[in-house]
Amino acid sequence: MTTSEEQPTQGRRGGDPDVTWEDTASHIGEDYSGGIIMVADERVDPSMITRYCEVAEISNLTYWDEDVARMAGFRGQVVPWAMVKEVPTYSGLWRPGEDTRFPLDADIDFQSQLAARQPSVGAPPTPVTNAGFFTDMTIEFFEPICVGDRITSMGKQLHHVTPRETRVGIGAFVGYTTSYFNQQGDVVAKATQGGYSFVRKAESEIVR
Amino acid sequence: MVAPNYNTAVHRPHWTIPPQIYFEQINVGDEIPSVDYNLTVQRMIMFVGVTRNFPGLHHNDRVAQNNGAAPNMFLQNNSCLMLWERVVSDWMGVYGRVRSASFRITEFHLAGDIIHVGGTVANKTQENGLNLVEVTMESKTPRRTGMTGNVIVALPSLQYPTTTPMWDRYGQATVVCQ
Repeated sequence: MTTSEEQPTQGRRGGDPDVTWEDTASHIGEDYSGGIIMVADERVDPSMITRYCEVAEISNLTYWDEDVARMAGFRGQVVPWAMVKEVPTYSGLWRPGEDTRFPLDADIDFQSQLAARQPSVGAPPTPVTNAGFFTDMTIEFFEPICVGDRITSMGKQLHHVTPRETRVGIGAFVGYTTSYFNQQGDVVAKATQGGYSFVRKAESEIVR
Repeated sequence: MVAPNYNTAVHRPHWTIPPQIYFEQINVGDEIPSVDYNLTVQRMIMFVGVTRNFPGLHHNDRVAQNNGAAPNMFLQNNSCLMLWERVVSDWMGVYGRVRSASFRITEFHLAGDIIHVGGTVANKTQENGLNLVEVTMESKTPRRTGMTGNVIVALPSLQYPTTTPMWDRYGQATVVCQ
């Protein structure tokens, strides 16, 4: 049996052997966005919402019908709340003038470079880790996102560093906060997304 | 060939708005309607497509297996939250507003799983004109609990049935009566 605590993610490896998690925690509150203001490549359109609702079969009519959404007090057809930190905030995967994301010598399971999901430049110093995975998220919602809105992401503020040994390894839960705005400058959401970065235990030591 | 007559064509579906649930009708301990999701491979691919979460972990068994402990492709975290979206949003109705959501994933949501998602009303509070309901949420996989957390929702009251709260950047709510 496996748990999400074993869900691997890319890009969480590295670190400095002379750094402790307490050192990392001393950087709480610092920003690692590089000051980048990331504007989504695409405005929210109705099909973006419809395709989203289809897969989970979400029926709330404020997501489907502009008239119903306006009746309920929204500016227009609404983006589902679980979708806010999703497609509406993304950069494109490829644009004219860019190199191919799929080189001819790539094997069948090749993973192409994906679009930026949030402004990010660097990270605080951390101890050496060799694994990591997503663990948790808390999102506050403010102004609803509606059709026609274009979302901007700002900030990657170190929110928490909690050292902990788990059944899969020794490391720390580390979370960052990013804020999202519409084209009027209204905040639409603030999300703190956490992950667990750790040194993986030997397979025989992992408690299943 | 006859061109379609757009003056008489039906362009838009006409949906019936489901009954609205109100703050006074909710009691602590109430369970909100649950949903069972069948995560077929086709549906997993649909999740990846609509969320544009394309890492192979979420659509390719080989990649999932080669990168770690997952026995096959599994839902990305925001797609896991999408399962809660339906349960909460279909329950709260068109006048409901989600204030916040918090979740922690504890188990893979694997292709082939039936995921049971349900919620229980944990708390009711009224503050500054808002009728807030905290719902404790849980997703169950066939193996163990897959995701836990809560969603806080503002509901209209029977006294002001079309009240719609909006929050500013400081979290201060404005209550708009239609």
